[in-house]
Amino acid sequence: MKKFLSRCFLFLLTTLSVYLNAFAVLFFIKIGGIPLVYRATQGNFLKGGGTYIKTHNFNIHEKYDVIIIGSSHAYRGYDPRIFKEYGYNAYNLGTSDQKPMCSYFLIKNYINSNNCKLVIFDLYDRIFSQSNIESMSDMIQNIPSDKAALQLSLASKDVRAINMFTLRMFNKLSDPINPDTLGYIKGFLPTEKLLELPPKRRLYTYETNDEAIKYLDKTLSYLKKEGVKVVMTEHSLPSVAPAPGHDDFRKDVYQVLNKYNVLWFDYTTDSSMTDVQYFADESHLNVKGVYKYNHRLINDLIKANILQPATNQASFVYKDKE
Amino acid sequence: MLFNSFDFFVFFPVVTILFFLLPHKFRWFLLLAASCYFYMYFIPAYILILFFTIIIDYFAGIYLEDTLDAKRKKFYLTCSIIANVGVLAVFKYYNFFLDNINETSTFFSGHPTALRYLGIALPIGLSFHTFQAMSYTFEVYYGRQKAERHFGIYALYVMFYPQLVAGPIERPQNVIHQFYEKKYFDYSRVAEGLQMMLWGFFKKVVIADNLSVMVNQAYDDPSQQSGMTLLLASYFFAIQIYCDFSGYSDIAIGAARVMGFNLMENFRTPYVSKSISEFWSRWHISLSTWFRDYLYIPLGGNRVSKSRWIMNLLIVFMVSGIWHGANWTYVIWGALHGLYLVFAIFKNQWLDRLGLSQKLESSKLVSIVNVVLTFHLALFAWIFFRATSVADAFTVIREIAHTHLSFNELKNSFLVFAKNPGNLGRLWFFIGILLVFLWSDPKMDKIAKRRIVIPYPFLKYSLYSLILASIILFGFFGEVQFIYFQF
Repeated sequence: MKKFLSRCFLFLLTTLSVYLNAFAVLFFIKIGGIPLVYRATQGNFLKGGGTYIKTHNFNIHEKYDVIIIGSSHAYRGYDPRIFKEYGYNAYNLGTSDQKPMCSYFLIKNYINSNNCKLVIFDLYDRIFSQSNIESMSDMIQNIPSDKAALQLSLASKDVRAINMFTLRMFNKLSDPINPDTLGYIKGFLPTEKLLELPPKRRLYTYETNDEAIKYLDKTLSYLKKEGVKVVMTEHSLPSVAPAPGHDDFRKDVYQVLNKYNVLWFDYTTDSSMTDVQYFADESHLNVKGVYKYNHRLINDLIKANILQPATNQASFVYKDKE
Repeated sequence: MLFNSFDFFVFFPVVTILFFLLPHKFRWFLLLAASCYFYMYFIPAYILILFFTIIIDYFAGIYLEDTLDAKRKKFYLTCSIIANVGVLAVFKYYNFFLDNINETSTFFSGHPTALRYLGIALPIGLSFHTFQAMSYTFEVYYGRQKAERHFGIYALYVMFYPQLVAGPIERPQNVIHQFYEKKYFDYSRVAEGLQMMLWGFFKKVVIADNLSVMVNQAYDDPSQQSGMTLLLASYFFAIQIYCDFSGYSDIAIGAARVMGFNLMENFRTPYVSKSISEFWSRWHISLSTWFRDYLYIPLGGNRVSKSRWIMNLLIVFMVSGIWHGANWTYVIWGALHGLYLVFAIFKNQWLDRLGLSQKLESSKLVSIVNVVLTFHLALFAWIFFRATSVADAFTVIREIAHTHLSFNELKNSFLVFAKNPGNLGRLWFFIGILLVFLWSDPKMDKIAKRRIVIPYPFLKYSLYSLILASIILFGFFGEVQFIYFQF
């Protein structure tokens, strides 16, 4: 047995060395200015982009009234400037295709009772039904904390996430390749686009995802322990492109929400906000939709006594005011 | 549980460590419990089907042994066969039969029957464990195996987790006695098993799963693809299915070997076969020998008239086809292999008459031509195996027949596989790995099976480290099941 263990150790050491050397070769050989590792292996994300910008600009020591978490629905759907109109300091930490597991590690590492009063957690069915790899890779590569990135890559139980973490380490000395700094306002990315008709067909079907439910549960448990308030939200969808399987999704999510008495402000089919003029595409709000939705949501949160009316309301006037 | 999942990565060492820590008398129980857990990972309720056949076959075995009356023996054997085939008929073939009945009914009467389809998922590996259970009753019936009186050991014979869902389809003589033998931790044997598993994982996640993306892309809608794309996809599928299934077998055999159990060899580099009959002695050996022993020989094998012999071959291969799946594509695949073998009978007789057989056998050039020809015959049959319908298979063949062999066509096909030019680098990189694999596979197969021993430990460490590092770096880790799980 002793011999076996010592040989295993030697083998793992040799493998680590071969792996790191192979990685280095793939990293330092560049084709078209891009390291070969991006072209040769799977699921790798460039260092840079929206997630890099918003997580690096986020000040963990600042006091926020509201932090928004979620996928592209979140970072395209919640404008901190509108929250500022009501006197709330908000920041949007939504990232591309952010799944509940990613949200959990983001919240656990960046949000606590000292820097946040309310988390608005935007959910929609697709982030419960698809593979984790896109959002995971993006976050492992781009969030500032090595610890959070390592935690995420280990929790993923996915070899690709381990590669992604290695790539992050190799990328330490290089600048972000694709800074893409334009357009982000405290994490929010506005778009003026209008939904093109006819809408594209939705090709996914909702299926219960135990892992997503587990991490949603862990997130709510963490926030409860921290004493940070949380609400779930889901903005409207264009009437021409309804979400299939939404009822099943609601059933799954409510199982967790009821456990923590968390409210869900679900506007998916709210007829006042489903007109195509409010959408950039089949899933995302445009600035007009954001304006209408954010005002509605803030007022509903105040009515529900989740947000306290702020005394120092800002005089910010939104340029695309309805 | 999938071998290529994180859960197995935890399950396997835990079960193995517990196996060696436990006293011998409790080990069968641990393995049985672990096997139940392994199987219930898919659809837990389906374990009841397994228990049903286990109970029937357990008692059938005892009654078969205890009775001397030939008629009664036949009765017990028939009961066991009906139970096993009945489970297959209900869970695997019912909807297929109904499809055909409905089509026939619509053809003659203008409307389908009122019979309802079963809305159930196919239990994982049903054909494998059913055939393994049947091999037990056959062997007891023929008197080549004693009935197993220990229910737990018999259940373990059917359920032993490494080979439960995709074989190798074992024989009781090879396995049952091993459960009674005391197993010790032996360094070299454990290392051998782990090395075999590693090679299996490489074949599965680096080669087969990466190829599956391209194959699926072409075969999901063949009418939208060019002949060249479909031709390449067909070559890729031939490699994919070999790596997928032989990879699974290597992992299964390796995992059993770590614990001290020897399972039968299932693959022996089948694509170097010089004839289709040799191909079947190298491809899915445990299934081809099953059909040989329990169907082909009882039908009379080749010790009958020529026409009956031909009929026997066609029956065996068509049954083998339908064993794989409830679809006409599999039947045609099996029938094609049967026809290849029938053609070979006539060809060999003709060559014998001309006195050319021995001359041709000793020629190296002829050997090479035969290998290439055999591979392409198998490849042609794989088109039916992979296509989702017979119509799709004919579309693939038609498009391939109209292929213009040109560099531009080839370039366009690679662009289709890459999906966008940005992915071409990864594709070329993978093709490089594939070529290295094809070159090294016969040698690696021998190394993994200890037919070649690497003399220098440093070389061995480097080789297996390189394999493991390649799995981590280039493995495809999306959700891809083993192809043979569905059977």
